[in-house]
Amino acid sequence: MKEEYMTPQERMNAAINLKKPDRVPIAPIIGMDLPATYYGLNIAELHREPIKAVEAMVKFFDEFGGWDGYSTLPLVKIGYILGGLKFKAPGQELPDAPGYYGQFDEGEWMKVEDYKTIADIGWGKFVANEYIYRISDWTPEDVEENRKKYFQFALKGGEEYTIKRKMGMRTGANRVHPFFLLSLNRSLLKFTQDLYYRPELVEAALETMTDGLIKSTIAQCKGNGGNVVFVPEERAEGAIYPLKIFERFWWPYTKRIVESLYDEGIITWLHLDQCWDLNIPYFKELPRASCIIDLDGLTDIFRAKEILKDHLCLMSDVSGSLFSIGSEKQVEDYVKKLIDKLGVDGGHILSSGCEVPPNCRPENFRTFLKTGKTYQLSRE
Amino acid sequence: MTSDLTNNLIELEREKVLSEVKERLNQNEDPMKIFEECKQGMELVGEKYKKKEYFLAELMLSGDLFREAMELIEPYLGEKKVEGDIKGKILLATIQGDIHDLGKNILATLLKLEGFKVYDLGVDVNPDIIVEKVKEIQPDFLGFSSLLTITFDPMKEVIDKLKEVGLRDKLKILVGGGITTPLVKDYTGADFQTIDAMEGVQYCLEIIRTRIVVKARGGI
Repeated sequence: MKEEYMTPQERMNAAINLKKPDRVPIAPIIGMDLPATYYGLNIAELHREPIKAVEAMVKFFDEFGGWDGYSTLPLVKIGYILGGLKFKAPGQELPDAPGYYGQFDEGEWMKVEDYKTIADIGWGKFVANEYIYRISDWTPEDVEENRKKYFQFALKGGEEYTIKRKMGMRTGANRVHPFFLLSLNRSLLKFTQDLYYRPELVEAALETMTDGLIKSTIAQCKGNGGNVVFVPEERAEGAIYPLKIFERFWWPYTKRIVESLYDEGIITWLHLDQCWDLNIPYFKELPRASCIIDLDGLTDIFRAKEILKDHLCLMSDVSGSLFSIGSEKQVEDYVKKLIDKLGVDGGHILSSGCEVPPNCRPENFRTFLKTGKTYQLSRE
Repeated sequence: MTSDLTNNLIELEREKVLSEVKERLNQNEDPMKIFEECKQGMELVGEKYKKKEYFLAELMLSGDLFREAMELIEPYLGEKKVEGDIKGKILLATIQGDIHDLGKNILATLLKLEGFKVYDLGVDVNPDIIVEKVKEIQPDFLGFSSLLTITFDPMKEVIDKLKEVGLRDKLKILVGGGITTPLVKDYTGADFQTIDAMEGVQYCLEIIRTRIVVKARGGI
């Protein structure tokens, strides 16, 4: 079998820049829920002490032989609240019992009148000044303490992954897409009503939020040396909205984000859950190799490859159901299919469709890694 | 030929729909006629969705608009019933460990519009409660909404328990939600899987139609 000859960094960069890597880079999204379940740790405790979540994740990374790309940091409650998202955690709002994991608490927490405030002062200040106290029971002292805790935890994640383990993709920032943030905080129905019946209010907020996202991402990446920003979105796609909505409220802002960050040497990792089949052709308008299109199994990734080949890197989509209830053979066959059909000349990062679930069968995850690491090299 | 009210509902003209309903009710027009025009609008929205002219957004907006119109009409209906014959009973739940209810709520709205009696047990529901409710309500369908893989085992547990108590074959079971695939249908032992609420509705309608045909031919 042919030997590997690239570092994880070189391998990831090659794939993102549409050049041939020695083998397909592997970058599954793994939060804390899978490692915690695997090691029998208490999820409620990890939400209270996020540093322990990072420790569990890196232990898991080492035990399974590692991979190439940086996972996002574990999604702990304080991270969500600080970012302006209401959250339910085991041991707090959910039972401290097996089978319970932290989840977004979507609702109409944000009111129509908040759009103007957001347009005037931006999302960050809106959250810090008032909204954080609406979606949590924190005091200003709690906010300060949790900020410090989150900073230490992010630092620890960076040290463990980037410095000690020399991970290939350095995620300098995580930013929920402005459209998705508003949808989650207004609730899908109310936000949809806003889009159709109060479009100017939404647009004004999106303008300010987009500018804020770009500015804060550049500052954060300059500070920590990261060159990728993780931007999740699962509400703007053609499964929910017609193209007239997508074209007015999502695409121009996304284009501005990707182009502005690319000018600063930052790659946007667009984490696109749900079915984006209708929207995929739009991404051809973005600069070549300016972002990663990360799909979750509901979008036809093979069709997306046909449309975006030689233009943008795709991150693939081994589904949560395959990881959790599929057989090793099914996982192996699907990973081989991805490598065969998406090609080996760059533009593909092998990954999970959204996060590898907490009840993933360990043997399936091993098969995913092993097939990804050896299949292509064994044939060349 | 459709009325202005019907057309305005199809076009999601919220203010026009609500003001016309109010005005016509104030003029003592038959509330059943107003209801029928709104209902026709919803049926035509459904048709547009099936033809892919409309999206989930329009389904949600029209469903909510219809709900608002009904809130205005219902006090005027008195003893009159708008439900008509119930096509079937369906029990819906998001099972233990999962608190997402978006897909379930959309499905519930669509099923009600099609004439199904919906029993919504909510989110994070214990498997034993679902089994007990099936015994009590004896629904034609049981629908699970799922966004997390950790729901697969509890859903399977419910279906296995229904087999144990001899109720499994008396109803059809649907699993739906972004995380579900045909693999989940096979694993849990459900009858149908989808990520599209309208497909779920069509499945229920098809099953009911088939039963009517079988009964008409002298079957069970």
